Amino acid sequence: MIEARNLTKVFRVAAKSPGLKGAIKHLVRPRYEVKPAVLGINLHIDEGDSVAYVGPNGAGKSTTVKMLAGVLVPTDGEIRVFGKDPYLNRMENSRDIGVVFGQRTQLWWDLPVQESFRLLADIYDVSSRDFRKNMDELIDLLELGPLLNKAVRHISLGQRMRCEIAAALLHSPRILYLDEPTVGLDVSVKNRLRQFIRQRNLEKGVTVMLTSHDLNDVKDICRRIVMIDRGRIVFDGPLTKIQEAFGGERSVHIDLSEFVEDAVSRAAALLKHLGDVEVTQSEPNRLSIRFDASVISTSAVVGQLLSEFPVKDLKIEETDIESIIRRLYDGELSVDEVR
Amino acid sequence: MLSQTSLQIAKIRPVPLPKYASLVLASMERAIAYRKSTLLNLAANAVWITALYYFWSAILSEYTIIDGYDWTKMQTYVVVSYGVNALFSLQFELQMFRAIRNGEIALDLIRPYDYQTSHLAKATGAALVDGVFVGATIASVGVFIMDIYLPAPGTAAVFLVSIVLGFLIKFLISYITGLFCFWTVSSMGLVRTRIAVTNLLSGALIPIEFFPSGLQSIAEFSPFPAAVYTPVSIYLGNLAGGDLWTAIGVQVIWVIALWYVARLLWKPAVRVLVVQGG
Repeated sequence: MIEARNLTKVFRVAAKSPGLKGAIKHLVRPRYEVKPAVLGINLHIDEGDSVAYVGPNGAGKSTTVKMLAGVLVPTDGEIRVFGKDPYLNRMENSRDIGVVFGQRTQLWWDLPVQESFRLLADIYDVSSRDFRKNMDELIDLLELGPLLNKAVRHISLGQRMRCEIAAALLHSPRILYLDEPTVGLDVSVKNRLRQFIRQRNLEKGVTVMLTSHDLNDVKDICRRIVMIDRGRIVFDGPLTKIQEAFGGERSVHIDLSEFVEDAVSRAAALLKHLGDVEVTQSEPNRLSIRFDASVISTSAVVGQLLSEFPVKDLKIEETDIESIIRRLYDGELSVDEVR
Repeated sequence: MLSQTSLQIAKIRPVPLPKYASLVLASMERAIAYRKSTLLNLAANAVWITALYYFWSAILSEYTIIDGYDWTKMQTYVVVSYGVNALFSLQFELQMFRAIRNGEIALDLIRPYDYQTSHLAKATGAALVDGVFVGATIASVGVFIMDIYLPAPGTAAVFLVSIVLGFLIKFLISYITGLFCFWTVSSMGLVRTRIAVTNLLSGALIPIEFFPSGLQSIAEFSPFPAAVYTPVSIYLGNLAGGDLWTAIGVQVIWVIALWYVARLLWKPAVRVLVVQGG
């Protein structure tokens, strides 16, 4: 349904040297350099899918979303959304999509929230019956009732984001693009929004594409993850696959009751015969041991540690998806291992 | 279960309005929400008109009549041209420029409306509110404090038509300037130049008859006089019979021409768009 082939976007930016001198130089002889944002991306998203589009800052996430939404023209490549080019058929495409840019507001700042809703309903030709139905549902689920008559500039960011999501869904779009929708929100608001978006995806079949730096967004909303780095896709697959590949990993943390000299090397020597383990010391009296639980038995590790060290406290941790993705970001893990 | 309160709170129109009409309404509401800034504008207007009043009063006390303008006619020119000019606020270009610069324009591009028409709708909403505010104040100052004269009823009707056309021309000049902001991030200079040129050549500052002949012919071949000078001349009764309809015809031609120039510029402009930030 969303299909991108060899999608590429290159920006031309002014190459200015710093300072006043650089500015003057640029004035006399402007120089530009090309900055590639997205490089030959291939993407296929089916109706009803929920895709997390993640990657470090500047990886090209927002640029991709803006091209898919018809805002930016690709430098090269092709996009089809429901068979149409979203840029050339901007108006038609816009009826199928809802977009939330976490850092911008689509509500009119000085007007009561519901005036913006009404305006959007008119813009999208939503019939009064559908508008009432959608509005009541959204008011109920997102608890918008008390906000409707307040001017947008008088409500909090969390309240505004609930309104933004409602605004994006008023015309019942089939695709919802969310560009960092939870940026700057507190945990309870985040949870509420995630739950709502997930429900829309599962119950109404709304296709969701989400970019976020908050990996809990990814985990709670999406089934599929596409990871992008420096304009290229480095991983594309179900979230469960990442869990399978790295999910066997365990960490055992022990707190020592007294100081032990050379604790790290002693622990490493002690556990070496079991197989591959990684020992780190995060605090003077705390050791962390990481290993693959499908190869090494956790109880053997714990047993050995208890017999040799004065252990005060002990914690066993399964590696969660968040830390896996974070380490993929940081280059600590390689995506080849996932494939 | 839907909560009863939500049903009562959400005001829903029995029939959806056409999208551009709805934009005009929202924009009027916004202009009313900005009434403090509108009032400040009025104060600035008052200062400006007072300055022009004393300027011309000083000159005309010396010469009594210049190029057919005596003191009463001059006062009328000052007040009416100011009123016509004030219909279209500078805010428009600045907003367009800001939206392009900070990337808010992305939100216009995901809507099923035409960018140009949607901007016209927003400008119209603001102008209707400003028109009532500014028009009422200026008219009362003009009639009760100064000594301006009122047009004949027939002329008044043509004057209103001409004001609408003048507004469209001014909108299109601003919009086209705004489109050039797609190509440069430092567009303030562009906007300032546009404002200076429009104010001079449209006759918003001084009647075009007062220009040296070279500048007069430049003005004649530009769309600027059609924005302000034409409606004011109609009000003053300077144009009559065939001249009157020719002037209106010229305005109509400029509206159509500029509308399509803007259309032509839109495609290349939006292609170079770089949505900044986020």
